[in-house]
Amino acid sequence: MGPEILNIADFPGALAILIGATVIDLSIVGVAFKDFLSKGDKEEKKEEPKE
Amino acid sequence: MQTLLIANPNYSEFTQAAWEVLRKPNLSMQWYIIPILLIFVYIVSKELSEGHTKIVLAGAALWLVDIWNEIWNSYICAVSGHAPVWGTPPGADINGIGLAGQGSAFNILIGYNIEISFMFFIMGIASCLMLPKDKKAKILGINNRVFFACVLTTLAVLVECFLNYANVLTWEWSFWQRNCPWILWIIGYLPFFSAAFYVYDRPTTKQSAKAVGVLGALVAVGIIVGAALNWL
Repeated sequence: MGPEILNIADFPGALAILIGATVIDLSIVGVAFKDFLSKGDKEEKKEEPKE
Repeated sequence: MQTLLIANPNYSEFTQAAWEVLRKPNLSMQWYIIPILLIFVYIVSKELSEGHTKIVLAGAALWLVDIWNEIWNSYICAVSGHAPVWGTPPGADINGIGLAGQGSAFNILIGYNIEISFMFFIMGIASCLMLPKDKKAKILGINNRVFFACVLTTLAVLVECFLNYANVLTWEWSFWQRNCPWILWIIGYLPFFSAAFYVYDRPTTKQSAKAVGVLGALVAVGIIVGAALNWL
């Protein structure tokens, strides 16, 4: 018999922490991806006149 | 000296087992961790000696984002009074569930051990060594940083699923299971590689160090708050 599976909706405090942590984690992804993708855009724009 | 931490009686069996060895090296320490420490020192020293400071800082970034996740995982365990999102209990047979192996040499937090700690720092270094030097190079039409972040995240999630299947990594919440790995993908690993690559791509070492400093501050606040509330 395995462990009991818990539902986060039954634990409002834990849910609040999870939401807060998710916001911070996604902010890290957002800042990084913006950098990865905007760099490419800028460089592509620079290259366009050459073409 | 035994720890002063007191386990919650409502904790799950996996969580109780993890609590029993939490920050008690006298119960869990094993010799193999010493050569792993030296391998880690060798890797970092080699990169620094070759002038790859930003790669080491990227490793630190991935390591710190993982610690941030480990901190909120401990918070959820304490606040719910039942279980962390992921746990690393020692290898013991609990009511016939049958955990594999003999557990960690040192459990730092409820879902975080010394092996995970070394692993993530090295993962950050290794992942940056894979990156093309050309930041704008595309792979299959995708920016290579985005491509590698997504591919490595997927591979890491597959390894996590295997560790869970092998019962060395326990998952007791419905939203964090092998049948719904997308949350694990988005907040479990994608931020790790994103942070590492972002730090690696800073134009100067000083800017890389500054980004790592921001992550370090986040972790420091998490540790201070967690320690003050006895949530770690």
